[in-house]
Amino acid sequence: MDSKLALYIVKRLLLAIFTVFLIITITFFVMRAIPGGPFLSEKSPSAEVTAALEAKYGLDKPLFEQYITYLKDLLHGDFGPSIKNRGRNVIDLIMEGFSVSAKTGLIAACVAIVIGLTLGALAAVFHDKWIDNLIMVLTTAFVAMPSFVIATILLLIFCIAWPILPANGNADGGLILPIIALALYPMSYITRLTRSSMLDVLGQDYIRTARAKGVSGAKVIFKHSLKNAVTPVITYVGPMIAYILTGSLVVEKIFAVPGLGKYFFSSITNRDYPMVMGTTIFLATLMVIMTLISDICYKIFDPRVDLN
Amino acid sequence: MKKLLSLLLAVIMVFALVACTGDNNDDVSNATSTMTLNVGAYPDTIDPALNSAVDGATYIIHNFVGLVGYDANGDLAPMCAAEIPEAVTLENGMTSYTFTLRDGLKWSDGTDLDANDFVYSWNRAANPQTAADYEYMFDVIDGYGTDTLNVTASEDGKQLTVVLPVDVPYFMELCAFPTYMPVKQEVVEANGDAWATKAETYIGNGPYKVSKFTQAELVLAKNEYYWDADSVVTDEIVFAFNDDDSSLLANYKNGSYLFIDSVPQDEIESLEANYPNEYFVEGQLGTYYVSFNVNDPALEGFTEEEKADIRHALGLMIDRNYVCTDIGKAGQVPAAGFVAMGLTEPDGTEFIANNGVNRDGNGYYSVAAEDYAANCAEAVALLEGVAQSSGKFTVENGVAVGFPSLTYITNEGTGHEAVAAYLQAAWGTYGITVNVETQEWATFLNTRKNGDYSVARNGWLGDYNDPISFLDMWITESGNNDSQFGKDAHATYAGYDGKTWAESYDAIIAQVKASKDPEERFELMHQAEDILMQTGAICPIYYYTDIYMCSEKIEGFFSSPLGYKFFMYASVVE
Repeated sequence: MDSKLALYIVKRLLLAIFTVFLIITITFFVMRAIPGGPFLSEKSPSAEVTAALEAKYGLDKPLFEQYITYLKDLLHGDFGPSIKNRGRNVIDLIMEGFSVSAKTGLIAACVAIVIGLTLGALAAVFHDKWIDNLIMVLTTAFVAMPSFVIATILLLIFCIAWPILPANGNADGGLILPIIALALYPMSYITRLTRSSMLDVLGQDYIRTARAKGVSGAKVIFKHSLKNAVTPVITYVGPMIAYILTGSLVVEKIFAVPGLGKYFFSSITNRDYPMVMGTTIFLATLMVIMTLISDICYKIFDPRVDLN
Repeated sequence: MKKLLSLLLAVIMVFALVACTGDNNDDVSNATSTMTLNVGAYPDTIDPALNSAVDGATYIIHNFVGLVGYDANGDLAPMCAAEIPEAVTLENGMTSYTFTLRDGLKWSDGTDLDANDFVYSWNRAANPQTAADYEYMFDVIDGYGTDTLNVTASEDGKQLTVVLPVDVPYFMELCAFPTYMPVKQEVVEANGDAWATKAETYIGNGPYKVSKFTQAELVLAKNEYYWDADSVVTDEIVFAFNDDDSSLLANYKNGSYLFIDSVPQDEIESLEANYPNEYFVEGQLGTYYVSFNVNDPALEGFTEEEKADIRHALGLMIDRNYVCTDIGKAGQVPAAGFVAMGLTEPDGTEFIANNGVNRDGNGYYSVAAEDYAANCAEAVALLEGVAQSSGKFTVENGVAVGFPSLTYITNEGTGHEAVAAYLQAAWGTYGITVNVETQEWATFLNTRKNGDYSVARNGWLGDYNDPISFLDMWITESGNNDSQFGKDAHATYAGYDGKTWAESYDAIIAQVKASKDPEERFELMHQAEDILMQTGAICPIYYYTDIYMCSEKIEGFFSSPLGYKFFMYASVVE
């Protein structure tokens, strides 16, 4: 069993490396195919300056040669310098941003999972009662509302109308609102997933048997139902964590959180090629790892799952 | 395996707990007075040589100071130089300035600063290998374009002599410009471009020094080695990085920021009404305009004269007052010429007060609201003329029929898109179909620079207080010649007093740059603007303004026409 699992992990890791390599290659060439370049601005630098910049960042070389150089550097852990932020390395910018985004994201993910599972279980247990209806109305609203609407509403309520929390992520307690804004969507999604999967489980014969045998209500819910109802949630949680850890452009912008989210967008607008590559590789790797972890968790929670 | 999972969960929770508690307590400051302000997002660079952004310049002027700078009244005053020197005419006809530096000038790390530092810094910024956007700011100095500028330090490092082929009236202003500020050779050479990314290596000579530089904020502390440290009142300035208008306003309203440099467009009216003492609109050296591609394939088959008439007609159909009051809503001023307001002539009058072919300040068309109907009638007459001479379309009851459709390109942005929609409607009234294409920023810049467009949104902010900053961008070889003057078919068109673009416009700009007589120089610049406006390809809409909110608690703050914000003389009053 364990050797089977180990083999599975090795296989998956190899596949992951291949996936990331494929993403690197596609991104590299597609990025170069979009019109525009990193040195364009409302005021053009002179031809000499542009040439010097191109030489500095190796952009004057043939595209394929640049690709090979990039891969070689990458193997040495070198993501290259950012073109937009002169003097900064891509990896430093990403890690600085990630340290903030991951902190916010991790708390938001924990909040989403804990509250989502609880609310989902509550809704299922009190199926069709007022509490279920209330939870469903709220979670439907939060799932439907885009994050910029939620963030703006939170900003209006807690920073302007009733100013009890700071409106910028850098102030003390400034991460509370971004965490709430980040957590609401996954929390609601998890609630809905848990509820439907739990309803499914609660209708199973073995639950009826357990109840008939006189197993206590709490034990039925937590030991027999929730544990089995959690599998679809795990599938969702893996990639969700990868997204939430890398930050949200909208939430970070609205609450001035100096996180990673902005780079996914700004690097493309600025045609900051090394930064586009860096953020893509970073997200892709994280995504692949999280998916792998959630698949392994899947196996642990449900031994019937055949990894092959 | 279950144990392993529990362990993993426990580790995650502990990590989360640590993350929650590990707050920003490491930057406890002993400052007695502090102000938190916002002038922009995390800057691309704060290296004085490399920066070309307005927010970057604001950070730089607090950390560096040039030979001259601005005093508490916003007037040009000697800074590193003991006094502003007189120009000396050399035997070869060139001009030289010799600056004598103040005694005891020091860098923020306490080491000495002398004239050699200026020699190094200016040569570094002007060297194309440094790849500074603003390297052309040194084109007024002899030796520009060669390996070294004609700038020399005396043996004792007390004096700096600079030689200019032609004495330009704005040279002292250039000396106050960030690109001309000194940088410390040792730190730059030891760290490369990275020297300007860390507080430890960011050594300056200005009123403040950086104590913390993260992606969230730039924290400045008083620089005790600044030559005029006594005039600096506030101990600490925090520039918070943030570029979301709604977030900025929320932070301003709840008192987190005492200054914000941008406000949401749709809040302008209410802010103006509710914060009369905190809402400011200042003139800015810049023009918002529409550029036409002179080689537009959509107008192929028309003669160059007909194309110019079409462009003039389209320009006259724009109600600039409507754009300013109903779309811009920020005190923008309707523009009747390309060179912006706020630029002064040798006699002290404003350049725009003398613009227009009659030099009467009425511009190249009337922007008075009551003249709009007459402008439109003139536009229709122009179109009728073109219809007749070309036979390619007709004008019936003031509406063009069969006129080729044009495409207007703009980048994203509510203001830009609203202007685009207005132009589409205004031109549509006269039968001219215009498709609006909104492009992503870098694509838009690329399309516009390459001349792959018919009509485009455009804007220009001057670099210094001289009209040449608005005019030399239109010479044939300029990288900013978005209208493609003097290129392709337009290269051979001799419609400017019988001369081609190169023979007329390029030549006149060369004359301006060589002119030693200020009055003649300004007259030449007016002539250059005449030629530019004669093409109809540059269609000014309004002169830019700069909007900001400044708390009543801040005293002694001022803003320059270039948009730089000066807080070094400011203090917070409770």
